[in-house]
This record gives sequence, structure tokens and C-alpha cells, in this order.
Amino acid sequence: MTFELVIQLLINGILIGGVYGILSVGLTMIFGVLRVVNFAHGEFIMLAMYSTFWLSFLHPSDILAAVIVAPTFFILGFVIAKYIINPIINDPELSQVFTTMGMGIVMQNAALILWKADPRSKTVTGIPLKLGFLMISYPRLRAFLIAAAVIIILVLILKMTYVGKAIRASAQNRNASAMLGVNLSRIYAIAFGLGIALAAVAGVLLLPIYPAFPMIGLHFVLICFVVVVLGGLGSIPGALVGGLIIGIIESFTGFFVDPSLKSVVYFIVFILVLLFRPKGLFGTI
Amino acid sequence: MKKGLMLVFCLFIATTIIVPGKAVLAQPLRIGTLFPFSGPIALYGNWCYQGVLIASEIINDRGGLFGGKKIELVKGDAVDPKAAVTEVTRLITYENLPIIIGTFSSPRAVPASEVANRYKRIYWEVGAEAERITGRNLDYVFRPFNRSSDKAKPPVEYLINHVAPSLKKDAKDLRIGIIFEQGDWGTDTSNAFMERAKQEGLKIVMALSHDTASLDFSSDIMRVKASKVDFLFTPTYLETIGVFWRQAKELGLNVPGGTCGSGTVDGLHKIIKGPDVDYWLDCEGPSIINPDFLQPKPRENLFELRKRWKAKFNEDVVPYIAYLGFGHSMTLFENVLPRAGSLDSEAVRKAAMATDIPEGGTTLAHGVKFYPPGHPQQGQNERSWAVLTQYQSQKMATAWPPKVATTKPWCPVPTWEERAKK
Repeated sequence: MTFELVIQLLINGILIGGVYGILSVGLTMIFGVLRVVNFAHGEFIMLAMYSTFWLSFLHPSDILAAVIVAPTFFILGFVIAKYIINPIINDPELSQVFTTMGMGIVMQNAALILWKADPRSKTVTGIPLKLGFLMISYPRLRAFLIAAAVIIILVLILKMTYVGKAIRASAQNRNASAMLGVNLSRIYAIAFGLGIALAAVAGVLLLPIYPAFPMIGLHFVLICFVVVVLGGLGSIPGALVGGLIIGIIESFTGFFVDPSLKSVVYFIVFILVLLFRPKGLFGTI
Repeated sequence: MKKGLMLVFCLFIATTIIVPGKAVLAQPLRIGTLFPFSGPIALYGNWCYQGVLIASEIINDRGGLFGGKKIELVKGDAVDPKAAVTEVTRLITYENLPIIIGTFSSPRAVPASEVANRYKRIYWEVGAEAERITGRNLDYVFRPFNRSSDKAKPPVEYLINHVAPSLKKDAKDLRIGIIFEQGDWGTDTSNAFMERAKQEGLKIVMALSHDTASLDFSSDIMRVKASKVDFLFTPTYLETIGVFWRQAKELGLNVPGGTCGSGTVDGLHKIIKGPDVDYWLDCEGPSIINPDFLQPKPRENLFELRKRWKAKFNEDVVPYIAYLGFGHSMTLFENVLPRAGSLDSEAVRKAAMATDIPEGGTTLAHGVKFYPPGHPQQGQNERSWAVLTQYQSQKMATAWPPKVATTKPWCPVPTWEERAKK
């Protein structure tokens, strides 16, 4: 075992952890405010990947794609929340589960009918980044840096704007917020829209890394739930930290133990954290 | 009066015998198709089905079977192994279908074929490779396609006869690694490769399994780099290979003897665009082969398939998986069923057991003869074999064995830095 190897594994883990973080932050946002687990989260990411793919024929820049896709998906999320999620917000959890799962199945199969099962991919050119002995994946580094910037902006919005404060208040105590004049229905729709917009940003950043195909959401969703629960339901910094922890565990386990046992090890860590801290690392729910 | 009675009598004959007779003649030959039309491997299921469909359309356009009856395919969606069982049961008991063509996927094919056999219905496997599909002495299960162990021979022969000389090494000094998907198919294929490699005295220095849902291969790649492999064998699925190959470039994984998948890299050029896809090898059943190797009838079928695929999908290259569905169902429609004389399971079973097609006699180049009852691989085609294809200038070509190759293999593989300079 050499110093260079350990640093390379650590960098790999941080970069994949950043990917997991950006995948999960929208999910934790929605749960934190609405207390609804969005089982269609992976499918929104999938749709955003497809949107980015089609937009790349107009212009290859994914920053431009993010500027178009994120607001569009915010509006989509807002409308879905207003007409589908809000009506079931006080219903039993099982109804909410079936609703969001059903949405996910509809989106998956609609994508399959419209675009078939063929994977779609953007051209990714250029040689890898080499810093001394380190080999760094440029698309993953980019995704990590942009994800971190987006999360910082989101935290600032939540802290410094009225809407952000209303969202945080609703997450803490919805009844008290309502009594203080917060329009809960509108705040839920905004929070859901924000969560979907974050999922869309994840999709834009991930297309250079993964191909888009109708079932790719299934690949994302399990790791998202692990990261969200580990980091703490409703905690946005928790999603990033949870992602980093999982990514680093995966990287080292995969090399020193066996790649097929990566998920075993991080699930053990996950269970241990929940045993000693059921709310997750940063959770308040 | 007599004329009137005669007229009524003739009308009676017409309506009760001739018209129903024509109706019976017009009744289609309904055959079940069990593929994953939705779910995580819908891509392959749909491709395979399209191959079967085109085969049935060609037969129908040529006049059908059994005196003009048209083949009609009835779909069953094997989205996962449980659905495969319920769907095959539905196709057999509710749709009353005597033959099921399927399923491409080994986890689905294993239970589905068992159900079909229990009902004494023919199960005709066109794409799943797991050994135990035909390793259970099931009388009604037939696989004209190659099994996992057939895929061991081409890469091992390639290593000994081409890679070793290209790298100026003794074959026994080559360092070989394997990364395989952890299901039935990946495990069987890698086990068969390892066994064959060991028989030839080749050195396997690492073997790693992985989950197809994995989003990251950095630790796998780091292990391969640390093992300094000369050749990497990776039986896993297309989407996974796309992620793996990108990360291989990002992390500077250079494998001088080549990296070889196993039958699912058709379309890799759609995920890895541009020259980065070059040098990738794949071990699969023969599809892109020298047409001169084929006998006239299968050659004609091959060209017809390409023409119809282009007309339907506007694609010049027929996916390998679609070739499988086409070629193996053509064997059923064109060779077995005419000899059976009907869709009766017993008649089809006997006709299948009597099949004796020489090499070059099918669109997929190999012959067909099934191992008899009592053989450990009863129902498996003993004449199936595989080839190595390679992406060269972003197009797939058959590189090994030389008898059916359309190109010479590119080996050794330059490093990513050297390729970037070209």
C-alpha cells in the first residue's frame, strides 16, 4: 500500500461521493419539507438526462442545459405538487408511497415508449486530468464542484430569503407556520419544485458520466435513500456529507476487500449509524 | 323444386365445409415470445424480439407454413424472473400456445423453461447463455444458441495465437484479469473462461465480480491497474461497460492485450462516441461474418434481414442481439417446423431432435444439432460457437477466428496518451 494509492482512492471516493450527494439533495429537500418520500426521484433525474441529451444537439454546453432544464423542471415539480402531491399530503403514508411510485413507473414506461431502451450518451472528449501521480476524472470533478456550488446557493436561499425561511419554518413545524401566515400549499409546491429542479441539475451533470436510458433511475434510487437517511432526512448538508462518506467507503472497500462487497460494507456502516443515531448524522426529524 | 333443393344443398356445403375450411386455413400459427419488453434490460429484449418478428414476417411473405398459414407472435413481458414465470404460464394456459421463443436473459429463462417443460410445451431459447438452461435434462427445452462455455474458446485461442506473439511474451506469462457481472450469466461465462484458460496453462491474476447497478468502477479499475494485467475479460452488460470504459480512460487503465466483453457491446459506439470505442473486443455468436462462409439460403436470409432492418429502423447495422433472435428462430421456422408438420409439441420435439444442419447452414454461421436425451446438456446445440469482434475505426468487425474474420485484430492496444496523440 503506497501513499499515492491511498490518495488516489480518497480522491476517487470524494468524487463519486459528490455524485451521490447531488443525486440525493433533491430527495432530502422534499422529504424535509413535505414529509413525502419521492419514489419517482430517480425518474426525474432520468428525464433531465434525456432533456440534456436532446438539448446537446442545439448546443453542447451543459451549463446552458442546466439554465434551461432546471427552471423547466422546477415548474414541472410545482405543478405536480399542486395537483398530485398536495392533495395527498395528509393521507396515510402508504397512499403517498403508491402515488410517487406510480408516477415513477409512468415516467419510466413513457420514456421507454417514446425513446426506446437504447442508451443515449453525450460525446465526452479530452484526456483525463493528471496532477502529478493523481488521475482525476474531469466530468466527476466538474459535477462535484458544480454540485457544491448549487448546494451553497440553496443553503443561502433557505437562510436569507423569505421563501427560504418559510420553507424552513414549514419543515420545523407546519401548523405553527400556518398560524403565522405561511401559505403551506404554496410552500410545499415551491419546495417540491426546488427538489425536482435539484434532481434536474443532477441529471444535467451526470449525462457526461452515465448514459441515459429509461431504467437508469433504478440505479440511482437505492443509493439516494441510503445517503439521505445516513446524512439525516431533510438535511441538505447531510446529503452531501452522507454521499462523501458512502463514496469513500466504497472506494476503499472496493480496492482492499472486493468491489462486490462495497454495498455490504456501507450498509453495515449505515445500520450502525442508525442504531446509535436514528435521525442520521445531521438530521433533526 | 329439385333445382331449389340442389341450390340449398350447395349453399349448405359452402357454409359448413368450404368457408370454415378456409377459415381454418386462415387461422394463424400462434407462437409465444417471452422477452423482457420493459424493465432494466428492455433494450435487449426488444432487439431480440424484433429479430424474431422479422424472421416470422419473411416466412409469412414467402407463403407461411403448413399450406399457407401465417405465423402470429404473441408477446409475454418477462420484466423480471417472477414475471417470466407468470407470463409463460399465461401464454401456455390462457393463450394455449404450443411453442415459446425467448428469453435472452438467463435469470428469466431458467424458471420459464422449467414451467414450459412441465406443461410439455416447446421452449426455444435464442439468447440466454447460462449452462443450466440445458443442463437439467428437460425434454422440451432447446437452445440453438451458444452457452457460456462456448465463449471460453475464442478469447483463449486469441490469447495464445495472437496476443502473446503481439506482446512478444510466452502465452503462459500473460497476466489475465476478469471482471464479471455477478448474476448467472456473468458467473457462468467467467467460470468457463477461467477453466479453459487454466487448461491451457494461462495465468489468471485477478477475478472480480460486480453489481450491474453499480455506478462506479474506480476501485475495480484500481485493482486491475495494481495487477498489471495484459488482457481483461469482462462479461457484463452494455450500460455498465459504457461507464467502465469511460472511467478506464479517466483513470489511465491501459491493457496492452485488449479488453474483451462478452456479447453485449453491440451499440457501445452509441455510448462511447468517437475513437475511444476502438480496440474494444467482444466475444459473441457469429453475426458480422464473411457472408461467403454461409450457404446460399442463410446468406439470402442474412441480406433480407439487413434490408428489412434498415427499412424499419433506418440503421445500417443490425444489433447482434437481433441477429440472435432472427437466426435462431429462422432455424425453428424454416427447418424444424416444416419437418414437424404441425405445432404439436411432440412432433416439434422429434423434429428438433432430428435437426442436422452443417456449419454455414444458418444465418449465424454455425450448424445445428442438439445433444440427445440423456446427455448432460440435452437440448443444447453441439455445433454452436462464438467469435471475437473488435471495434476498429468505430465500426465492429469480426477479428477472430480467421476462418470467418472480416478484419485482422488490432493488437497491441496503445495507451490512452498514445491514442490521444494520433
